[in-house]
Amino acid sequence: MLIGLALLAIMVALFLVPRLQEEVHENRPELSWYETVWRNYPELGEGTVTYEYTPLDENIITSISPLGHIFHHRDGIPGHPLPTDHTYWVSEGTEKVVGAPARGVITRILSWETTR
Amino acid sequence: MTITHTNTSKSVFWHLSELEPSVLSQAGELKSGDNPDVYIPIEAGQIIGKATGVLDFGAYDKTAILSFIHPERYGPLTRHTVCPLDYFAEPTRSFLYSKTDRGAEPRGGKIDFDQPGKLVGNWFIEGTGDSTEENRWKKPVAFVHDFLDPKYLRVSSLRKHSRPMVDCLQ
Repeated sequence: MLIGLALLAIMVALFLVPRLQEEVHENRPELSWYETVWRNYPELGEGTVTYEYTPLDENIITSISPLGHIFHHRDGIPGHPLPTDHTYWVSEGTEKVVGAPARGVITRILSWETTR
Repeated sequence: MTITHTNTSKSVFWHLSELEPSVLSQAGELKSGDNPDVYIPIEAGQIIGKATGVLDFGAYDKTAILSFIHPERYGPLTRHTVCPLDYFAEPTRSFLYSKTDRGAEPRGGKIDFDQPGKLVGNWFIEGTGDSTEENRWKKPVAFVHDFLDPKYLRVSSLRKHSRPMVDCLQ
């Protein structure tokens, strides 16, 4: 009798648990684009970063364009009709090594083919 | 490539021509157009790749609130833009600023010119949506100050789907 009840309980549990998991998954709100980009990594904490290294060798940097550049196409890359949200680092040489300015985690890589 | 330093601080590099093999080996198989989330810890100064042309470098601080009237029209990073040069310690910061041609404050430049009730700033045609990849270049027009010499005013708009038209007013 007890064995039969135990087997019945196990079967009910095996049937219910996957359904509960599915319901939890279905009820989980889809992350917005903003929430996806600013996804929380608890181990990284919060706060301002201090850059320890320039991404390019200081000796080869010739000029840096500040924020706000608007421009036409450049080398086949579509331009920015609104003030640009990043800087441009012009440097000597044809193939320059790029280093991480501070400790962190690479969390996204956008890959595409280009002739540039 | 996006580097997350903390949950409120990110660096982004565009137009890297190649990834360092140690990074590439952890990135999985990449195909053109892919935009995968990855988790590759790196140390300060660690080589992450190479650039063959101009290096695009952006910094974003989630606690920085810009004066866009409609921040939702911009990408999740753009609405928190800061100048990366400001995040270097001295004397590196001054050295880097010596490489810029902007004398006005803020020395790192500015992208948020919006002022309620005034023409200055960025304008969008209603119904073009937010700044998703599909919508980001749809018919905006900007009335802004020049990025190097703010005494010059610039008007920028897209001609249909071609390149921006940039005019200079004094």
